[in-house]
Amino acid sequence: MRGAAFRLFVLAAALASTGPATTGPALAEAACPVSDEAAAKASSYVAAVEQAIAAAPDCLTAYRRLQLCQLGSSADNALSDMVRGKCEALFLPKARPPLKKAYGAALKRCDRIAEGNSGSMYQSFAALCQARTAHDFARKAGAKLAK
Amino acid sequence: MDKSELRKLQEFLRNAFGATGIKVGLDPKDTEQAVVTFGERQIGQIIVDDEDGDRSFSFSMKIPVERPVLQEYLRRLFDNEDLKIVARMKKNDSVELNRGDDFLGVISADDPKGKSYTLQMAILDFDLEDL
Repeated sequence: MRGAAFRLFVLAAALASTGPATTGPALAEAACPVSDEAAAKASSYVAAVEQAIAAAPDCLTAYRRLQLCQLGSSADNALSDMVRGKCEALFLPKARPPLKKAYGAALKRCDRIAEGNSGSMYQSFAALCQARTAHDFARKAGAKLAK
Repeated sequence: MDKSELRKLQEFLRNAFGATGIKVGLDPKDTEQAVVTFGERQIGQIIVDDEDGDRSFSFSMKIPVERPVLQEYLRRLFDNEDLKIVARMKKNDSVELNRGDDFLGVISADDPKGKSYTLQMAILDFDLEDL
């Protein structure tokens, strides 16, 4: 997929991973909770965002913080991995093969965003897409499997 | 539940327990519910779970034995030595049922004394896709 169609696909994926699609708690954060003071204390904004995501009490909060604090560069890869860690713990240990297969396929679809485009921005789109995928699978399957 | 869903659910449970004698049929009293039989015996039921908009299913099965013989009961019932009871972290009123390394469901005590148990298995849409 190249050209205009692919650009549309990338744009849709980017919007999907940054849009307000997640229904969260009523008191969900509306802005990135990392202050200038926190960034200074942590030595950099990136480090402060890492700390904020690491401190998130659950998958949804971690994902929301990534959405709100995203860096827009390949540095989002590491943040996405942290979100995935929190979300995947909710469903992967209990996932049966078909669910694992579907999850793997969904992650690969995210990878295609970066594979087809050079540039740090596309790495960020792909990273956010993967975090969103992990969050969506956790929401959909996690609660049911843990009942 | 339609015929196709019932067939897929039957196939899923047969694969999960390694027991080809399992049959799934519509509950004549409730079309959103199915009865699960093994041989001549009804062993459980399946209900539709679409509360959150995703259509999935929940299989439940009463197990009329106490904790020490749960695993043996299930292995003998389905003639499957791969069925394994695994303890749950931080929870002692329930255990997990695995087939080999694959998670199947949660088995919870019906009463504090653990005189009988109930197996609950979530069957997701993913589980039925390739059946």
